[in-house]
Amino acid sequence: MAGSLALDLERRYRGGAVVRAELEVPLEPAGVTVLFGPSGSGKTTILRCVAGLERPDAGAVRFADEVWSDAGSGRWVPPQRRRVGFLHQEPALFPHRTVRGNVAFGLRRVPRAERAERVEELLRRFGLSALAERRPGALSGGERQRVAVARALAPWPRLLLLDEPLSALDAPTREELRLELRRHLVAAGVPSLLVTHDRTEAMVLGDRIAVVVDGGIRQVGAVEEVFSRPADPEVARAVGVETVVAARVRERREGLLVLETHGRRLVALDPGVPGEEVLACIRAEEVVLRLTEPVAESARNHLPGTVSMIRREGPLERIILDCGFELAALVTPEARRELGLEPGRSVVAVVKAPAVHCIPRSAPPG
Amino acid sequence: MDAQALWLSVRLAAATTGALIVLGMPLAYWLGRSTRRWKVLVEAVVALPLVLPPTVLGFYVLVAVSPRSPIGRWYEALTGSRLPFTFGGLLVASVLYSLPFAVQPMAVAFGQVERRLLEASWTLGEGRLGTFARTVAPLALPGIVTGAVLAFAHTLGEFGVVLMVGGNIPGETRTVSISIYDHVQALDYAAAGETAALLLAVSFLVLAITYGLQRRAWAVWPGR
Repeated sequence: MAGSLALDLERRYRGGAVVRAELEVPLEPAGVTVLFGPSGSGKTTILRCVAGLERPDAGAVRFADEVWSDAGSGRWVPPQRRRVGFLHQEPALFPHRTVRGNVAFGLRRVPRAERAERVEELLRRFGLSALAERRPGALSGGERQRVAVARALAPWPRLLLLDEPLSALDAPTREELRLELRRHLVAAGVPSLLVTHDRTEAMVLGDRIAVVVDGGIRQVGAVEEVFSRPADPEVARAVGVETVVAARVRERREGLLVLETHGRRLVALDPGVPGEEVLACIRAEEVVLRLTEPVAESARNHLPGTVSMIRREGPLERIILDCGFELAALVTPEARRELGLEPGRSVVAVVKAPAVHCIPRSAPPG
Repeated sequence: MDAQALWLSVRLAAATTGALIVLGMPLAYWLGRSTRRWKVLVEAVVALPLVLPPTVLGFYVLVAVSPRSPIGRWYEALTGSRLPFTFGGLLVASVLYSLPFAVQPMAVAFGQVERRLLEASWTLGEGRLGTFARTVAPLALPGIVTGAVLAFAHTLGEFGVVLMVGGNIPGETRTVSISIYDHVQALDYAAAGETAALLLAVSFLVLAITYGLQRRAWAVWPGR
């Protein structure tokens, strides 16, 4: 399936709120695009317009070579014929049907044998076989959300839309389901659009991220790129000021993780398994800059680099270093003057191991 | 006891209930789920029979279906028979009279089905009719059953409307409540008491069974 999902829409609400979205999501390769932004920024509206559950007041939604909605020509494809999977915030399971009945719901027109086979396959894949005859009322929150994902994937959707799929769960379950969901989304190979306001969720689940602020899409790009290089202060505020860089776990040593990224080594404290891909996050406030390599110091990470950019940020200044990857540091103007920080200046960034926070991107193999 | 009158009442109640399921369900669905502002006017019209004296309703139905009215003329041209003082006329009046008893519980039940369940059904490829049949109707079943049973029981016991529109023709319009009235007029208290007791028992049984069934229905759908 080639092409892309292209949105250029506007939805106006009584009371004056307007949501605008211009976004193109490639369908090949089938990745997860995260719509990320604070609550009330219009992410859910955009998702519902793509599903056909809401009608844009202006603009169009195109999927590959189909026009799903076009306010100009009045063209409208109802949700039934878009063949998308949609996941609500709260899993909207049919309470009068069993787990099996829920998963089979969208397969009514599929021949009986094939339907049974598909349902069994999904129950197995989602670890629901033992619960197949239970009704939703007798399931835990995590189990319900698994059923909802399995049900949405059953009729071979061309696009999967997820509206804060983990937000209704308690924290431990959310943690547990996050990686599992990522694995399912990758295994299903269905292009997905996922709404969330949770940074970790965005980083774990997303391949691409579109930042939504005040009813509009401000920046689109790879997850690490958007988190490390927000396009403007509002995006920076939405994503949080942090360096995010893809890394691989090289080894575990004395309870610490040694990561490798862009030819540099980073020592972190988080749990992890060698060989695993992670995103290493370093808050700009926790980066200390000095002019010379220390002889001996407690901090484990010394990263020599050159200053590439300086930007004023409130009372502080944001220094972007090039040390194999882009690393942001927040310093006071006084410190900048003392160190004589200018673009091109060589410095050493010092980061303690516990300040390097690792987010696993995919489940460990096996 | 007047077996002929009892049988007629049961037939009338059954026909009325059937008509109300067919006609009342779409109306109830619209009332339960529509967000239009002028919906309240329709709600008020549907509820009118609750407060209107049966004689007033019966009077208007009688005038509306008389051979001189457009509806009466149209019906006569179509079927060759007239509505006043016939079973057909009685059925029309009963449907109107029992409308709120059927429609209100159904509308409440339809309105309580969560919107996201409908949306889930739509995105899973099910059209509006399929969504109604597979999701809304099963979830609203207790309300639908309640509406049907109330309509049945209410029709079984109606008196004023029947007298106005149907009169008192044995086998055609003489229902069980009118037969009780006749017995009392004739000072035949024994026969009146027998029929009244039977009506009381039947009404009680029907309601008790319905509520009992509903309790079971809820118990097998926990977590709603």
